[in-house]
Amino acid sequence: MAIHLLGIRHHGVGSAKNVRAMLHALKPDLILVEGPPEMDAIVQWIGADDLKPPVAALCYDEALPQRAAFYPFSEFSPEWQAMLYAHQHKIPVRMMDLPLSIAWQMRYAESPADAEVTPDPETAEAADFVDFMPTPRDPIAHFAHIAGYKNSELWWEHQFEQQYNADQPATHFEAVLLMMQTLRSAGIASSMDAENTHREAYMGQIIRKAQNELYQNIAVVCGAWHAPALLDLKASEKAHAQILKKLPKSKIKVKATWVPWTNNRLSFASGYGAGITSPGWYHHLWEHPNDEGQRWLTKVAHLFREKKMDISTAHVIEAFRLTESLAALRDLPRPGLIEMNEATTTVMCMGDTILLELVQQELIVGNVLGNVPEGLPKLPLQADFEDIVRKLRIPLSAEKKEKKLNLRDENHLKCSIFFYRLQILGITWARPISSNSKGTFKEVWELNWNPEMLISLIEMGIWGNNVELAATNFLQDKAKRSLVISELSGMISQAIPAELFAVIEDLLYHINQQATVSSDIAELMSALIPLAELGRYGNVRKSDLEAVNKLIDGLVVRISIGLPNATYGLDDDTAQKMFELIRKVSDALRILERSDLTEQWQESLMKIAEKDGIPPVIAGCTCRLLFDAHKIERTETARQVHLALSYGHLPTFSAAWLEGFLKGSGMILLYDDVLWNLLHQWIAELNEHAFVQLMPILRRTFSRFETGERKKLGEKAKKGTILAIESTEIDGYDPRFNPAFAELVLPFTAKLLGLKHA
Amino acid sequence: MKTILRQHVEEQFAHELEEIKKQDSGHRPPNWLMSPRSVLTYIMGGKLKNGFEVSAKYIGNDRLIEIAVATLTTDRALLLYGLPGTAKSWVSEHLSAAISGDSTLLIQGTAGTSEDAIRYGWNYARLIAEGPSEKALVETPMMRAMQDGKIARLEELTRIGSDVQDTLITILSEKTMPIPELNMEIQAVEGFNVIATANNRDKGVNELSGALKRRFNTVILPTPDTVEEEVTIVQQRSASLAKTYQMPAEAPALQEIQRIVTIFRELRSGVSADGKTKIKMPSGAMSTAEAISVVNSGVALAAHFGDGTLNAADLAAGLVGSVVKDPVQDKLVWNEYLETILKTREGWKDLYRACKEINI
Repeated sequence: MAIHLLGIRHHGVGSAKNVRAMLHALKPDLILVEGPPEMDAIVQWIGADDLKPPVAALCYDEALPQRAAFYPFSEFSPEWQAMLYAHQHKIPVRMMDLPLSIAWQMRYAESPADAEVTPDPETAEAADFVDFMPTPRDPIAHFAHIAGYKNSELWWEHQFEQQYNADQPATHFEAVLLMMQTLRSAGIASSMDAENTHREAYMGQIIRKAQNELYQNIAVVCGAWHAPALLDLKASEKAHAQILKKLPKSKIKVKATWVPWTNNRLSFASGYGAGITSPGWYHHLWEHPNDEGQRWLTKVAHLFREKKMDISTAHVIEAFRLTESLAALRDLPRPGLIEMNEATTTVMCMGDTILLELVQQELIVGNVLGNVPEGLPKLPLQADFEDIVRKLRIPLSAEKKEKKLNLRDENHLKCSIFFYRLQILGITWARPISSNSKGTFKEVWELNWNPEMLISLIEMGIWGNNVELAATNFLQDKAKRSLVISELSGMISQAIPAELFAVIEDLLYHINQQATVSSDIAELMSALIPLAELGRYGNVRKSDLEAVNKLIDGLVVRISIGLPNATYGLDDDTAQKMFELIRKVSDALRILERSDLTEQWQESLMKIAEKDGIPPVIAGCTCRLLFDAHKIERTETARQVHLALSYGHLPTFSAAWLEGFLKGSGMILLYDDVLWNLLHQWIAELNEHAFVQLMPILRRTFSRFETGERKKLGEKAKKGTILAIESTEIDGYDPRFNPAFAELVLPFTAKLLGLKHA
Repeated sequence: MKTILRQHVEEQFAHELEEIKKQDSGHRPPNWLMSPRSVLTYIMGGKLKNGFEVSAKYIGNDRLIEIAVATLTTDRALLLYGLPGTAKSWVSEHLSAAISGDSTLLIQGTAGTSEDAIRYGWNYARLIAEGPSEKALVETPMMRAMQDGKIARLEELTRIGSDVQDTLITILSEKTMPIPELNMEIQAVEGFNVIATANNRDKGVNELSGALKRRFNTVILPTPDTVEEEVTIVQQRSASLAKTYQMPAEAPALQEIQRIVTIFRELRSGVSADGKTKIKMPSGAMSTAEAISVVNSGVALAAHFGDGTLNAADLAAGLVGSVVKDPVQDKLVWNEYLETILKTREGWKDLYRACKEINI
């Protein structure tokens, strides 16, 4: 009854080779691999054609999917190789670790499992990854330090990964075991000792159980650090039993499945501590164990050539020779990645490390995406997603495609809502692109599916079991952490078309909180705009509307008080932004049709109009808004225009003022000859230099007018100055207008538009 | 008795080189005085087996020096590249001293360097009297290095005109120097190699041709990573210079050096030391070498005109001079730096006042 302990480094290529060689030598009748026993259910899939690493085993709590852990594997993971061996030789393989159900029960014991548990993927997952991290670094650092290494990772690499000797895997594992034994018997602590005690007790238990089942030749593949604890199972039996007795009972149901993974996610680069910085390099080592660098450097040269850099074969030769001399200088058995990179930089890139980033991204990390078979158990969110996609009949295709939606069609509306929800979840399969046609009923989306999006979706699985719930929870959490009003109001704009009404209430609360303390008028203004839009959606519940209105009231008051000061002394860029905001707020208030609010707003605009030192574009805009609202007389407006266009101002000032005044519509110039004459005169008097300088600004202003308007303006310009000024009285009603006649058409118009006529 | 003002490094550090050679047991490339590993020890400093302490010549990333030494063991030449004042020439001098025991085979690159200075020249009196002969040849340091199997040094490679630069190609790739006038050639002996230095941010430099670039392995020497590193460099170099010039002054206080280094680093990186304030950058390179000279001139001032202790007033003169290179632009930058950073810093009042007193 032999038990063979194979201490490994997770994702270590050298470990993987040794494990494979050792298993072939041992011919075990059972393999135990470190990992939560919940994974047993999916281990059978290893060896299936469609299951291609990098993949990760995803274990999650069926009831609370936010409790999840990913266990990533690559082709060269020793665990993967062990499980693959078991599949190929048709022997049983079992996972061996503390079950996640118990681990989670212990971790969340203080906060009872209820829906209130906030999913915090950053910390929750990080903690789970730590479980799976290679043997604790700190203890190994003792050896590395003695050997004169600053980096314990590098020491391990040189000592155990590169010194691969195919004939002697047994010696390798003996050495690893001895080293770990020495460390542990010296009482050197690892950072995770508390948890390790439980885990190792459980591991021991699983091995004992296998022994009792009369397996004769058991191979145990586990993190090197654990190996010494599993050495003498007889001696530790009592102690283990005692530890296990204290473990809580758990009712958590853990499900497991395979999900595709990427090389990028295997590396530190994306923030996942799976343990390796250079999966692409390891993969190369795994595939070409005898490569001393020629092949790798050739790959690098090919990459550079693809990017149109002249790298010759001579470069490769020289770089290779440099790696050799570096390795000799550093007493290394063979050059490693560091030497490769240094030689690449020195020989191929003129000492510049910027180009190396390309190598880092394309080769050292590598763009590899794993694959999982069809029939696997699916995550609830994923199942829901696929269900919706099927119902809506949209194919998941990598080809770029446009989809036009008519929101009056029920199915199309569902599509739109679904797309907006995905946007919130950060899945960019469908991107909105601006539609050419006018009207709010049409939307155009660009669809472009990429298999990596499936991983993003799976990662979002911790937020809820269906798309709606996940989007709601995700947005709620984001809102809780955001302190910027414009960000929060942006979320409202996302939540409305996604029909996530539960979040809107939350968002309103947060905006209110922030608005009270914020003194940034521009922020408040940008918050107001989506809020005003909220009112347009009829299916918002009444209570929501009340809250919205209250919030709008408060915002308008604050904006009206603060605006005159906020428009004072701005630079060009900020003035332009403020000008846009003022226009948008005006539009928003027009939609709301609330006379009390409009009055406050207009009073505020009046104050701006009376002030000096306001940027011209804002001054012009204010003048126009007040004129349109009949707040200032026509003669006064004409005076203002005259003043702005008068000779004392720089031409740029006048042009900016005009831009503010005319933005949006040139109608006013068509029907008001006085203003027309002023403008006509001003342009005629500009000298050539000033005219050339102003062209772009004027063009910017006029090109936004509608085609018909521009045409009419052009015709009017042909006539030049209008001498006989007609129709000076355009304000007010035509005395011939009869409201009774006009109302007769309203019912039919309402019918046409699909509205209910009150 | 006359004393030489600045000795060659192989003389200055003769005892260290001697001791390292005695202890060296590694494999020596042909014509090298010591093994590559010992070269590394000589440059980076360390303890020999017998406890002998070798001083550090270069303070910084040892991996870069490893690449430089490894390059010299192959048949590629070494190009040390970087900003002014990042110890390029210093490293090149020490490398050739350690490898060949001779740092004098030096060609200074200027806009006026001709082919004659790199290949060979003629003794015209002899040429006219006797006709072309080997005796009429004037050897260059490059030629001598090839014949003796030593390291030739080429300073400021990019200042040399491109056509002249390219004469190096045959020397570096074929390792020969043809002399068509005499129908002969000089073939390099084992151990020959070239260390060139070049600036990458300077006015009037000539870009290397692709063909020449391919003959060089390039190592970029960076500005020091940390304040501590840079303070050590400035401290060490200013101490050794004070010894050479026999200054009757105390060694500068660590605190003063730290202040100078901090100012230089801030102006170089454009961010204040705490990373919170953006700073405009002056037109100069603000190199470590300049920081050293500020400290040195401060020590000289203190020794001859002050009380012998380096204080803020002694530093200020050199400091302002090294920052304000362009009288208009840099003056604005400096004044802004004085008012926003120096003035507000706790305990820096003396330096601020001293700088304000120097009207520029």
